[in-house]
Amino acid sequence: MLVLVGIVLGGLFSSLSSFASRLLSPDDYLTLQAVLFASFTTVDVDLLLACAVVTALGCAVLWPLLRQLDVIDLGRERAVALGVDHHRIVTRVLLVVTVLVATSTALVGPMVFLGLLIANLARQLVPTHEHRWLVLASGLVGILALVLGQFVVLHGLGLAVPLSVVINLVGGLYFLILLVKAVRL
Amino acid sequence: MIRAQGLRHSYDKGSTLVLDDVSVELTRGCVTGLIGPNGAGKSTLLSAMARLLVPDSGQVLLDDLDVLQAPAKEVARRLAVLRQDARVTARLTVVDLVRFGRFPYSQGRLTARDHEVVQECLDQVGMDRFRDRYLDELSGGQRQRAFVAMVLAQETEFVLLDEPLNNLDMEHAGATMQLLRRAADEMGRTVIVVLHDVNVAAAFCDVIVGMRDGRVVAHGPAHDVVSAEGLRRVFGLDIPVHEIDGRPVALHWAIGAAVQV
Repeated sequence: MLVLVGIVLGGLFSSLSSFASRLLSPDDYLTLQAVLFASFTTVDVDLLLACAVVTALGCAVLWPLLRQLDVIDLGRERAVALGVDHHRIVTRVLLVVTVLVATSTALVGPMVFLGLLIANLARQLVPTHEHRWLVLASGLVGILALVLGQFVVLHGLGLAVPLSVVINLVGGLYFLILLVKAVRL
Repeated sequence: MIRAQGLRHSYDKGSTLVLDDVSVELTRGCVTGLIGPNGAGKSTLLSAMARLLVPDSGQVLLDDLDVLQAPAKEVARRLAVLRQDARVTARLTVVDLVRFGRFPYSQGRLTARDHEVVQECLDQVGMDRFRDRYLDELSGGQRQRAFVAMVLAQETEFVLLDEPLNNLDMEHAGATMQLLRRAADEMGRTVIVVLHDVNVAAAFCDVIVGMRDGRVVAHGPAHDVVSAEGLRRVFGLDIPVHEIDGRPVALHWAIGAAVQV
């Protein structure tokens, strides 16, 4: 459900940005396009330190909440019955996630399928319901996916295709497979 | 003692009143059965008592503790609740699930004592041999027993259950009711259980509360409520009641014509 909302909103905002781009002069448009298109090669180095700090802060806020997320996974009513303040925790986690996504977007631009791909892969690779391990695994899978992906782009595709396109392609395919599976079940 | 005061609740923006000024006080150490026709408000009352639902007005007190105002963690150590819905999206084993019952105490970091309690509860519901099975590999009855074990592991004074006998065969339904009986008799827990079958309620409960149209219409010893007169008030049906081995048995499969109350 949330994934669907994300895709719909993603579509809305990308059409908004293409609408805005039509109102701009061609020069400004080129500048804007470079910013709007996800790229791992044109990262603004000046932003790195600030982003690292924000990310570290975000992780520090999230880490103590992970055990409560395990309980929230049981559903709202059971979480409440077990003494977890469902509303407060969910709101807080969503806020931090928003900040973290904003940080990565500021660095490399919008990536639609990367998070979906990585979170699902981590869930399949690590057979546990504990979010401590799932979050760690997601981080590692994320690093691995980007480094491996960059390697393939460099040596396999000779830089012809940018990494973001490869990831969105693989992620999109994976999402389709998930959908087909869900329909079959 | 658990006390509901002036509980009022409606769904669909006030158009369907499900709790109509319900005030009821349930004694400590008893097994109390909640009976009534479908849509009488039993489950809503149970949810409101367990603060899973915020009623439009009224309050619920555990002794002097207001369940809606008190810290969530404190309430979770005094009151456990099992709802009907047994679906879980997370992939959990039986023992994983029962360990969640210790969350109000350990916040996820289980001590030796927590593990002991988990083991005891698994044994009590006869689920120890399935402890490492995933919930989605169990039958409905086994899953239900796993949830009962989780609720018991919470070691609370008050245990609220919404139709815990759903999906259970005769053997396990009887065993579950005996377990709840023991929880009250031997561990001094106060058990409040929504029951479908008035005869099960009559056989295992000390006190029965009968609800109809969002109101409490009968409240008293099992004998008084499970009687021709009591059942007419609660269900609006003429049901013959006989006494067998000192317990009232309602022949609800031999209902007379429905009567207006």
